[in-house]
Amino acid sequence: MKIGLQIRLLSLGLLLSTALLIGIVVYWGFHALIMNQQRESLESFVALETERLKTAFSEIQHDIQFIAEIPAISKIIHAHHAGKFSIEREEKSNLGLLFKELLKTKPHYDQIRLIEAANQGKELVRVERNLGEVLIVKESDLQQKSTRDYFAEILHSDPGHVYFSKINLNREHGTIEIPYKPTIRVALPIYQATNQLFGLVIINMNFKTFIDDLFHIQPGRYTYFLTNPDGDFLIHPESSKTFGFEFGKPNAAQAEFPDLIPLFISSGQEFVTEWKDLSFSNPVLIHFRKIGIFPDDPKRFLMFGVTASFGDIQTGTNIILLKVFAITLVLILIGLALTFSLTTRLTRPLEWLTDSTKRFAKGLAISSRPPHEKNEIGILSQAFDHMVASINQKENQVASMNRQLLKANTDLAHFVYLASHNLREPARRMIMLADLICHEGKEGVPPACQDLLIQLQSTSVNLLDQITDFRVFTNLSQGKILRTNVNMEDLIRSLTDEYTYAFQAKEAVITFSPSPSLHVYESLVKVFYKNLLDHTLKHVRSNDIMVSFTAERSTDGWILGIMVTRLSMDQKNLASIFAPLTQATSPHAESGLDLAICKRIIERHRGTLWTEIKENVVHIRFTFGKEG
Amino acid sequence: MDTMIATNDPIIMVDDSETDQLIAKRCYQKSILQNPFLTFFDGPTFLSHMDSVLHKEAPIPALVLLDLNMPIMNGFEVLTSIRQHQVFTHVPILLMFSNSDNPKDTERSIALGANGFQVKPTHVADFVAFFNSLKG
Repeated sequence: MKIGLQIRLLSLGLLLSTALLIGIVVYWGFHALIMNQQRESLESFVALETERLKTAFSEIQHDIQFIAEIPAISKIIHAHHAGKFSIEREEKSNLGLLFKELLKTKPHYDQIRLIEAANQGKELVRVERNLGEVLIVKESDLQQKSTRDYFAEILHSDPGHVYFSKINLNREHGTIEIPYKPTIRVALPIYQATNQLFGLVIINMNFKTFIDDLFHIQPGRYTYFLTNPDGDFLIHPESSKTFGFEFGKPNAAQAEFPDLIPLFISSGQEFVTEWKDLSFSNPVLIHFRKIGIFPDDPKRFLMFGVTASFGDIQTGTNIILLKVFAITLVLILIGLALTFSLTTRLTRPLEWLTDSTKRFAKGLAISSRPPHEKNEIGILSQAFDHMVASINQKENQVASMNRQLLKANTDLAHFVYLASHNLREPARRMIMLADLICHEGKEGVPPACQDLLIQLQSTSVNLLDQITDFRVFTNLSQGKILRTNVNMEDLIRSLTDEYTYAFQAKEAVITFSPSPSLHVYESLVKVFYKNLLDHTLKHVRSNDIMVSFTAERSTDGWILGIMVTRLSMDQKNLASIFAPLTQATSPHAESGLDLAICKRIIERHRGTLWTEIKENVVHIRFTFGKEG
Repeated sequence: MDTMIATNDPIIMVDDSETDQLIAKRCYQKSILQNPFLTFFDGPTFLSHMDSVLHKEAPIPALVLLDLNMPIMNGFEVLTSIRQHQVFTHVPILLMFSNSDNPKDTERSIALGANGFQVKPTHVADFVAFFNSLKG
C-alpha cells in the first residue's frame, strides 16, 4: 500500500475517531447536563408546590381559628345558656351573614357550620354553596350531626386542636354525592367560659376546587399526584383512579409506583428523583415528597408527587444535537478534504521519489521534480534529484570514457591487425625463400647449413602460425571489451543446436550439467566452444561417442568442461590431438590453430585450461578467471 | 577454379613486393605454363599498361593476379578501374590475399567483378600447383 494512502487512511481514522470521541463526550455531557438540570428543576418545583400546599392548609387552619374567635359565637353561646332566644337568633343571623361573606371569598369552601355538642349535634348555623350560590340554610333545614364519625372525633379532641378530617368523597344522607365531591372537613371545638364544651365550628372544603385553584392544573409538562397515607390517590390525571378506597380499590399509588412502597412505610420524607420509562424520546421524571400538614399528628401526611415530561426539551435537545452532528459532519468533510489535499501535497515528493526510483532502476527518464517542500520528504526528493543528476553526469562521463576507450581499443585492434598482417608477410616470404633454396640450390648448400635451412623454414612456419593466431584473436575481440553476465547453460545449449547434424553423424549422445551464469566475453566464449567442438568432431574418428558439458563448483569458482567418452582411441593419440591446448607451440600447425585460439581466449579471461586424458576419455576443463 | 588460361597471352602479376614477384616468377618457371609472365609494382603502372592494351599496342592479358594490399591504389580500386572498360569485362582477374580470415574481402572481390581469389601459398609446391591448375 502506498504511504500516501496509508497517511490518508491514518488521518481519516484519527479525524473520524476524534470527531466520534468528541461527539460522544459532548453528547453524553450535554445529555447529562440536561438531565441533571431537569432533575434539579423538578425537585425545586415540587419543593415550591409543597410549600404552597402547606401554606394553603395553614391558611385554612387560620380560617377555622378565626371563625372560632368570632364574637358572635360567644354571644350565641351566652344567649343560648341564658335562654335569650331572640338574641341568639339575631347573633345566628349575624354569624350566618359573616359565614356567607367568608364563603364568597373562599370559592373552595362549600360549607361553614356552627354545631351544638348537645341536642344530638344540632346545627346552629349553616352556610353552604349550592349550584354556585352561597345560601344561609333555614333553621328548619338544619340537621343533627351526632351520628357522624367526625362529630365524635372532634368533641373528643384536645382544646385548641384543629381537626382535619380524612379527605374523601362527600356523602349526603349516607350516600356518595354525585357528581363526586372530594371533601375535607376542618373543625375546631368551641368551649364556654367555664371550659365546658359547647360545640364546634367546621368548614367543609371542596378539595378538588381547592387543588384546582392552588395548582391551576393544566395538561402539560407536569402531572400532579396526591395520595393519603394509605396510598390512595386523591389527585391523579385519570380521575377514575382517585379515591379508590371508596370503591374497594385501595393503595393504587403503590401499584402504579412500586418504588414508592418503602417511602410509605418508612420515616423518609421524599422519594429521590428517578427517571421512569427511560427513553431518549420521552423520558419522565418522578418525584414524591411527604407533606406533614397536620402539626399535632406527625404520622399523618399526604404524599405529594409530580412527574415531569421533558419531551419538548428532549426534542429541542435532539434538534440541537442533530445540528451539531450536521455541523460536525460538514467539518469532518472539510477536514477530510483538507487532509486529502495536505497529504497529497505532502506525499507528492515521496510518490515522485518512488516513481523516479523505479524508473531510474529501469533506466527510464525521470519526470521533473514537484515543487520543493521544505520538509524531510522535500529534502529527500531534492537529494534524490541531485543524486540522479550526479549519477547521470558520472554515467555520461563513464559512457564517454567508454566510447573513447572502445574507439581506442578498436583502433588498437585494427592497428594490431594490420601490424600482424605486415609481420606475417615477411614470415611467409622467409618460408617461401627457404623453400626455394631447398628446391633450386640444395646441392650447393653444405649439409650442416641444410639442417639450419630446414630449421629456419620450420621456425618461420611457427612464427607465421603465431602471427596468424594473434591476428585471428585480435580480429575476434574488436570492439568487444566488456564482460557481461552470461547464462552458460543457455549459451551451450544454443551452440549445440548448431551441431545437431554433426552430432547425429557421429551418433553422439549429448548431456548437460546445470551451469551457472558467469561474467565473461560472450563472443569469445562462443568461439571457444565452437572451436573445441569443431576440433573434437574433426579429429575424433570414433562414432557412438558421448559429449558431456560439465560444470563443477570448486573453492576457486566454477570449473566448466567438455568431456568426450566412449572413444575408441588410445591415450597417446588423444594427447596428440589435444596437445595445442596445453603446449606453448603446436607441433601440428595445421590442426592446432583452432585450439590455440581457445587457449588465447582462456588467457584473455585470465582463466586456466587443462586436459584430463585417459584411455578412450578426454576431459577438457577450464575456468574463466576470478571475474568469471 | 573456373579460370582457365586458354591463350598464349601474357599472365600479369601486380604486387608491390619485389620479393613476392621474385618468388612468383621462380615458382611460375617451375610450372607447366608457357605464357609470358609480366609484373607491375603498383596499380597506376598496370592501368597504364592496360591503356596500351586498349590501343592495341599490347595483347589482352590471359590472366591478372592482383595483390590486394598495395600503395597508391589497392587491389579493389584497380579491379574497379579495369571492370569499367567493356573490353576488359572478360579478362580473368584473380585477387591474391595474404590471409583468408576476412570474409568481407572475398565477398567484395566477387562483388567488384573478380573471377576468384587466392591466398598466397607458403610453400613452393603449393604455388607451383596453383599455376598448374590454371592450365586449360
